[in-house]
Amino acid sequence: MKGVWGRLLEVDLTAGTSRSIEIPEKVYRMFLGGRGLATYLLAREFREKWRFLDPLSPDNPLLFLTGPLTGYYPGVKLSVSGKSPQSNSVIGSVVSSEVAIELKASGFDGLVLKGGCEKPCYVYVENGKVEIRDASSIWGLGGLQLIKQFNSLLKEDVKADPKTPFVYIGPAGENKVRTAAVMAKLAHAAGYGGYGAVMGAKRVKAVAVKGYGSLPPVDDPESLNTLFRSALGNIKERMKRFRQWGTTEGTWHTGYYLSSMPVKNWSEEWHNVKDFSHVGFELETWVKNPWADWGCPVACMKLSIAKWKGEVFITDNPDYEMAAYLGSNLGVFSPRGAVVLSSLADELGLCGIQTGNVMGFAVELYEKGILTRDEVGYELKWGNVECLARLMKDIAYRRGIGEVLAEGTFRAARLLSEKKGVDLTKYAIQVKGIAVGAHGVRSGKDYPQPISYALSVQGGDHTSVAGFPVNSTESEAWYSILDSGVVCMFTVLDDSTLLEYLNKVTGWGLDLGEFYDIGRRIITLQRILLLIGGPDADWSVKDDDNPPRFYEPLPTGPYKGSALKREEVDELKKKYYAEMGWDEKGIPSEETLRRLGLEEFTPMLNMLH
Amino acid sequence: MPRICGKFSWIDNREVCIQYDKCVRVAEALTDLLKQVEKKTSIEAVVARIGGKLLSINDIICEDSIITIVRVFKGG
Repeated sequence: MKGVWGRLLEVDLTAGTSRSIEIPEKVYRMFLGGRGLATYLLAREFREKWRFLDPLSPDNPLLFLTGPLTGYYPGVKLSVSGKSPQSNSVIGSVVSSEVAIELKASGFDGLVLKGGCEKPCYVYVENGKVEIRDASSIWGLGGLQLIKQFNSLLKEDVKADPKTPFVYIGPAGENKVRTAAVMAKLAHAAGYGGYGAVMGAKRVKAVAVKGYGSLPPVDDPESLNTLFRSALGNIKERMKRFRQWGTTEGTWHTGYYLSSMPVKNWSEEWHNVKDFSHVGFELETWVKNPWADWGCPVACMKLSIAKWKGEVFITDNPDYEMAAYLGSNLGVFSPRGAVVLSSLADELGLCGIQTGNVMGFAVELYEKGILTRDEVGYELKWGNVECLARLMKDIAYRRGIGEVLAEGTFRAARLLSEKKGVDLTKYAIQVKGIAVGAHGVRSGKDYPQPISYALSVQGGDHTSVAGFPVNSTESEAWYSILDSGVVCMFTVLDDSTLLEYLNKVTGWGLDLGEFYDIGRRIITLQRILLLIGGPDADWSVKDDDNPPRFYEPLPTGPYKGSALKREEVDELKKKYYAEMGWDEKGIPSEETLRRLGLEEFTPMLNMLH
Repeated sequence: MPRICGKFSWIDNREVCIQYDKCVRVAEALTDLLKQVEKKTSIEAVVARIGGKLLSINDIICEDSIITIVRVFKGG
């Protein structure tokens, strides 16, 4: 086997034991690693019982996986998966973390956590040897304080190398908030999916990994080295502006030119506040110190510091998604305000996208008089950083109105609709439990297509959008391959280069059709698990839709009046189902399963018909 | 006098051609070609090839060529 070790390290937290699980090469060839491998392992383990698996019970496995390209392709990403407490399916979530490299250098392609600890614990892995240790002293902490104290604890408790990387949860994860992220370093997050809550449900505060071995051998080291150098040069050349400005450049470009940035819970998608731009961030909050993770040639991360009410707030730039969701979506158009809220989300261990989305939903309800001051306990106002920070903390600690909002936008809308006796789901900007990423579809100028979110097996995830052509870098097959490789979407070149890379690492000799079939296989299996769903939410063909707001005309900006057309979306839906080999209800056909080598999962289709 | 055509993968492989009166840098050709089909995509967001060869933006093209253009980077 080349590029992978062919084994995972499984830890049973309840029993306090660990074992090595062998994975045949055929499985890697069919699913790669990361998101694809997680989907396969979960489908195989649970099959029809998937429906009854509570994502927030210790029975839900939490998978930290690498892929065949980990360690060889520029950059480093760790895949985090399990049954998502947001979508009740598998969401492939990724975070930049050297834990991925250390796992591979430990002789394993990933770590699977099963069961749960009785008391707060952390997991330390050194060269494949597992220790489950007491984490009482760091439980409750987040952000910088957690990082400092956990580094000391690792040194004292297990004599770990001072540079041992780890992933962790903040207070939100501990409180099983469905918008909680798995965090790395100060401001990196595996946000989509809500896996911070899954880790919290297992009472695992952190996972630290150190490996002193080598990476698995590759098939053609010499030509891989040549390809690596050429790819590296090409990436650096293309991503110059990104290296200079980070993703925050989108704050102006996406908001002003493309008119596809969320403003006040997506009631608008355009702004013309010039100070709310990369230049504004540069002048107001940005410390000029680009930083990157292991092997990353892009260095899109920057560092921002803001002083507010006597406190210092530190975060990355913030990146575009944070500037959008914890800025314009909440009516905050000051770099300082966005940095304060982004830094607070990091500190609490919250996904800024999912949390900014549910906060925008709450502020709109308050503005419309649907939520009252008595229910919230204080006033909610667009752009008021003080009340927004308070609301975010209430969500992380499940206090007051935060108890409902901690369930995420979809479930909060459902709960409040029941309570109020009116349909509030029209204000919920989500698809299948996942808040829509900060790239709108109404202007038609940004990259997502009208069916991108509606048909994604990861709902509103902007890093896994569905699209045409179905075998191209516009398709969800492509994104699922990146998440399974596991590679960063900002360091990839085209599909031919990635395929060449994969072949040189693994020696599989795949062609482009087989390459895209891997992606189609992954999303087809994800689709089956999504449709099986449960236990508290199910999805069907009617949920293959955009949030209702996206069918309303844009009220402002250069594309004022522009909106999605339902007939067009319906037509594209039919076309997509047909091209994916799914029936008119979006259920994969038996023939498709046969073609993709997924016959063993055919009985699961019975639950869907 | 190269005639350079761009084939855009994300717009149904639409092909647009430009006649140049001298050799041209890939960066310039890509900018011109992108302008013809859509203004929202920058050259940083695409990867270009001639046949099997991955192009650098500093490469010079002097012969008639068809560049296949794939959009990869799509926003933060």
